Formats: sequence, C-alpha cells, structure tokens
Amino acid sequence: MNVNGVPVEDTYCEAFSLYATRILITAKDSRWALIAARVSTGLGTSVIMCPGESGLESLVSPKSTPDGRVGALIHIYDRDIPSLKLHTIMRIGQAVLTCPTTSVFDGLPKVRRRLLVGSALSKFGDGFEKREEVYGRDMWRIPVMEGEFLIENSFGLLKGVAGGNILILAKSQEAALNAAESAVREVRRNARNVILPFPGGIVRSGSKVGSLKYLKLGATTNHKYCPTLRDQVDDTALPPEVKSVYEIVINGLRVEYVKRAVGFAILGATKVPGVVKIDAGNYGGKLGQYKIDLHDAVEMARGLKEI
Amino acid sequence: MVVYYVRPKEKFQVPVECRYLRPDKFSGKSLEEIYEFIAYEGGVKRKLGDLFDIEGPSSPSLNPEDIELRIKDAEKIRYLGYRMTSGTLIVEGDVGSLAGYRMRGGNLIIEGNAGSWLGARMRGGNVEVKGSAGDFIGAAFVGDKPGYGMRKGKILVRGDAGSNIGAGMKSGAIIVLGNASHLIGAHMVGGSIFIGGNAGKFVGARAQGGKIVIGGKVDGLLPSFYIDDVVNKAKVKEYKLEKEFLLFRGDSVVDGKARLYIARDANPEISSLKDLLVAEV
Repeated sequence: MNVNGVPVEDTYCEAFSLYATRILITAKDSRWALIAARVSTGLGTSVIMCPGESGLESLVSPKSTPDGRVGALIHIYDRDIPSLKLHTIMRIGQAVLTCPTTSVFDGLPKVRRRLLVGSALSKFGDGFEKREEVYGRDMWRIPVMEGEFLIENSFGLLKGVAGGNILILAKSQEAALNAAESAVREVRRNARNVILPFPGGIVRSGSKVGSLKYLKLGATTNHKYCPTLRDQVDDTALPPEVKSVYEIVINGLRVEYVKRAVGFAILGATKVPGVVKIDAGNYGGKLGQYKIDLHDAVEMARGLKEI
Repeated sequence: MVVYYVRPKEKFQVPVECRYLRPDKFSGKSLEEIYEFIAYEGGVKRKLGDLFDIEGPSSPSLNPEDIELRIKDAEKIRYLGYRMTSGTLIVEGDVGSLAGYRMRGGNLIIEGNAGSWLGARMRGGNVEVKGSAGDFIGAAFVGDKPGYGMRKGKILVRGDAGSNIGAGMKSGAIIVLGNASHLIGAHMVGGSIFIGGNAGKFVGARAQGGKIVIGGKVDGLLPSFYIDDVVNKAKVKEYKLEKEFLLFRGDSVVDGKARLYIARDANPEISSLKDLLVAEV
C-alpha cells in the first residue's frame, strides 16, 4: 500500500494494555492550564523507568469545562492500579495542587470504576477541607494560601492501550525529523482520546524487548533499525538508502482511538519528502494483546472505515 | 533397577526422624554400612539397623538413580527424603510430616496421605501424593522471609490439602486436585499453585508475585485484590481448566503483582465484577 507515494509496510504494531485515568485541569487562562498540565506530566515517557506514562491530550474550551474556565486534559497510564493511584496522587499533589489558580476534575465521568485520588489529597487540608457538590460534581474544597483548591473526589479508571507506534524511515535525519513532526501535528490536530507520551511525541531511541547480550535487561536498543549497525548485524531491517529512523508512540483510552491516531500519524509523516518507508515496531507477539494493522489504520483515519 | 524394602521392626510409639533413609545415601553402601546410619526415635539417638528391617541386594548399586526404596508403616516417620537428590522413594501407606523437606531431585511417591510441611523449602524433584496432604505444602517456615519456601520442582496432591499451601514459595508448581483450606499462597513471591476444588479464606494474602488458579468456590476474596481481566482458560503445568476465569491482581498491600484466577461459574457473588471492565469513555 502506498500513502502519498510512500510505501507502508503490510505489518502491524503491537500495543499492550495499561491502566489509564484522564484528568481535566482548569485554570485562570490557557497559560496556567498548560503549565500545570506540562509540569504534572513531566518524566512520563515510558513505564520502563518512569512513574507512569503521561501526556497532554488537548486544551479544552471554557464552554465544555464544568467551571467555565479553560482546561487541559491529561492522561496517566501505569501497569497496575496501586501504582497508578500512587503516581496520580504524586503528580496532582506536587504539580497541580501547587500551581496557581488550578482546579482538578475527573476526565472520565461516565466510567464506573473509580480511583479515589481527590479524597486522598484532601487530607492536605488538615481537617479544614470540606466535601460538597460544586458545578454538579462531588468536590473537595481544600484551603490553601492562595485561596481554595478544588478537586473532584474520584477519577475514572479504565484499561487503556499503550504502545501503538509507527517507524518513519527517511533518507536523512532532517527529513525524518520533519516527517515525525508533521505526524505529531496531524495526530494532535485530528485524533482524540490519545496522548503522545514521548518528548514532543517523538522517540529517537526505540527499544526492543530483551537483550542480545545483557540477559537481565528488559529493554535495549532496537538494533534492527539502527543505521550505524547496518553492517554489524545480520538482521537489519533498513533499506540501503535509509539514514535515520524516528518512532511515534501513541497511547489511548481504547484501541480504536489508538488505531485511528496511528492512521493520522502515517498520513502526516508521508506528506514530507524524503521518507522512504513507514514501518511499525512489533516484537514477534511478545509484548502485546493488541495488534494494530497499519493499512486498516490508514483507512480508518481517511474516514473509509468506521470506528 | 535395585529395590530396597524397608519396614519398621515394631510399631513406633513416638515420631522417628530419618534423615538418611533416602536412595542417594544408599548408593555404593553395603547393608551393614546402611544399618549404621543415624536416626532419632523421639529424642534418642539410634541406628537405622535398630529400628528397621531392610531387605536389599547383596551388591550395592553405584548409580543412585537406579535405586528404589519402598517403605511401609511410615506414618510416624519425619524428614523422609530430606535433601534427597535422585532415585525413587515410594511410601506404601501414609507418611508423617516434613516429607521431602529440602528435597533437591528424584521422585517421592506417597501412596497414602501425607502430613504437614510436605516438600517444605523444596529445591527440586517431584512429589506425588495419591491421598490427601496436610498444611504448609511447599511452604517456608513460619518467620522465614517471603521467598524462602519452595524454589523448584513439582508437588502433586490428588486428594485434598490443608491450609497455607505454598506460603512463601518462590518458584515451582503445587497442584492440588481436591479442595484446600485457608491462606493459599500467603506471602508467595513466585511459582504457581493450582487448586482443582474449593478454597478457603484469604487466598493470596500478601502475595508479591506468582500465579494461583482456583477451579472451585472461594470463601471470600481479599479487598486488596482488584479485577484485571476475564480469560477463558487457566493452567499450571499440564493441568488445564477451560472455563471462564476472573483474573485478579494483588496483593496491593505489599504492592504485589500476583495473578489470581478464580472460576466465574462457581462464584456467583463476585462474577458481577466483570461489569467493571466495560467502560464507556
């Protein structure tokens, strides 16, 4: 299959399930909402070593937030529920509670399964905290030096999908980076309910499961796609003209959203000249419950297929 | 195959500790040398020849894997198969507690019932009990750190079992085809436990890792376990059940990542937890 004249490999990317929560942070203006969202999702690239995977989904218009202020939606992903709760408390408590003018709302109000983060954080109020219904939500009022911090009692919790990815193989590093940035722009503009957890949405050091040499390591460099190792390894996957490879990693609340975002990433990346091929990271079935077919994803993003 | 027949000279009134009654100790030894091995009757130091009649071949076998020991009337014998490395030990009847303690290899077959602490701190080999077994199968001792229990090997109990099965185990497999009592897999670190029948209370208390499969009814579930998935089969080694299982993770109290499979059909009171997995965004 060719998209915009660039061949897309007939393969799938492997995604796996992680527990996810979505949080809406509102603030006085978009600047403070963005500061709170960015600080609270810092060091959240991969569960390999970070306290959860996290990222900014989008800014929310004041018309659709409960308190009528501008908001930012963030996602946090983790391997199990106890660590997700701990890391959510950590991120909200240290980065949003401290940030001027912010309030925190649940981003998944329809979900039955709850994570009691607000009630845990309310203990910061040292007995002066109050639980009441504000804006139609079950909220805690925590007195702080600025005035009051409002946080919803519980957040929705579901099994999300992490690790949907594409690999962009290009003739030069500049072309590869341009294509990756274009892919990220396309995903940010069109896809919903997904985040791109890595720096700027782009991974330069994709990893494989396990190691060839160091048996105790869980993740090491993806040697098949390293251009400098082309002559040293037997199983290189790079065509001769490829000089650089970037990976786009997408996490989402459901596999359909991730699939469509993968499609948008492919559409965005193939717009840029110099891209040789679009591939995907699959680990021989070792990692994922979910297999996202790239061709299906493109059709879904083009609107040819229903979600 | 060289077979030794062992039977007590008279019925024991007190527990007898036989750490040397095992095939690998018998290899290359004549019967006179075997009779000199030490055993404790109660707290009294005795010789094996004082307590047992042993029938065996005139010329000893040098390969312990060829040796088979058949023991009768062993219900008072403790520490049978202690640190055994190879060969076959068959108990024709019941056996006392601590059989297969620190066992490293070979086969221990018990044709009757086994006492408590069967295969405690086991390090390898196979144990098969054709009847039922007591408490603390493959467990660590009380007061041991988690992970000091069974480390390798397989224990198969065809009947029922007691409480604390696989407590503190680290690896290996324990299979009970009948029912079991409370505290299955308490503070276990790894390994797998299969219970074909029903289980008691506190399954997987303080478990940090490993896998527990319960094919029957569970007497309550700890609140620190949370539902993770619904699967269509669960197995440990060659023992497989093809029905709907709820997969729980825990124990959250110790930040554990143990997997607990509970049959959905036998537990109607928790089967509605499946609905929590359906989430509308």
